[in-house]
Amino acid sequence: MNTSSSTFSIPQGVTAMVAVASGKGGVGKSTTAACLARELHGLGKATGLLDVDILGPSISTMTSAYTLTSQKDTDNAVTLTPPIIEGVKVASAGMLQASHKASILRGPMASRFALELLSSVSWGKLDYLILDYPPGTGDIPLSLAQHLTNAYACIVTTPQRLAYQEAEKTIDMFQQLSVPIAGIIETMSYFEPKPDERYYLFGKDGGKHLAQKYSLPLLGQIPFAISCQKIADGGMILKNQGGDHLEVVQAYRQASENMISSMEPSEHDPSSLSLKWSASLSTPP
Amino acid sequence: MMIQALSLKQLNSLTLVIAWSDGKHTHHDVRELRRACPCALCQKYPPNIHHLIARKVQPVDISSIGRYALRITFSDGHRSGIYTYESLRKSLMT
Repeated sequence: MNTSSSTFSIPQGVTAMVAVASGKGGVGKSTTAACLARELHGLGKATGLLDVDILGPSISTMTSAYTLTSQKDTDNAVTLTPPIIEGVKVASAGMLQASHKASILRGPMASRFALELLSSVSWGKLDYLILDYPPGTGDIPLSLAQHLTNAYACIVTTPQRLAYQEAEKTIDMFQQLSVPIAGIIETMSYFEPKPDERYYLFGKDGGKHLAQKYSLPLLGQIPFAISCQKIADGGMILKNQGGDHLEVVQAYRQASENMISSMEPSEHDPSSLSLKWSASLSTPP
Repeated sequence: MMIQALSLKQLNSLTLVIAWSDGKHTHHDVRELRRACPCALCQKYPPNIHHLIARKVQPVDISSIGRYALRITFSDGHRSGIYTYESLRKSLMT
């Protein structure tokens, strides 16, 4: 990767980026990011999936995508070619080191690494690039949000208070940075082992109430499915699955459609302004 | 709906004009922007306005940071201030 440059080029062929983020870890960000990518591809959209959770990447395990091919250009900058898994271009920090190795990095290094990864991958033309964000509002989420253009955030939370009160901080971060929020996805909303037998394992409607509080769209409430764990651990998350996972697939399909409709293009993108100052213009009296 | 910066324009050697999505315009004296640089160093040790005028300090390049702020590179090499749109809009109030 080109580490000599202090600026990062955001992929030009990408129409929109979606940062899948939450305050708390373990709420299903990576699963949601991968499922949104799968369903957007299923809806005919050219889609990429980038895992920028540098310190705890999951996407390579979930998708069985383990290798990024690298090429050097004439300026000695490295371009990474992502594998295409089930039609989705996938890149993850987890592809760049062994799965048992820890990424021991201080914040500035980790955020620089995330930006380098984003800008070094050759994404080509994409309708959507889904970013699997790290939890919290620290260096990596902040640096990425500062550099993203034409980006939206999708907030993930479980119904429980511990999760949605952290998600509120993430909403606040994106609002302060003027990154529009496409909506909220509530994960692990309920468990339904049999028809008409529904259990609310982590409370009820926490994500829905959060959406109401901030006047944001509730993109979906995703049920809990036991098969999710096997599919994710087996690296099969980008494959369309049946069984008790079918309801999850349908919920993510609906959430993807809702997300597309909530991401109406803005008339003007304030992230593309620039001006070269001319020293030769007249000086006012 | 959030008010957004639409365009940047140089009026003369000292004045930056920002056009906003609600139809309003704000005028900014670039020496004043340099003097009031929001970076941590300048907040602690503000640059002397007379020195800035004597050295004819002016911007070289202005570009956006994400969707929320501008970064101004000045002719004295300083470029660490992040000028948020929110703070730049506040000049409408004055």
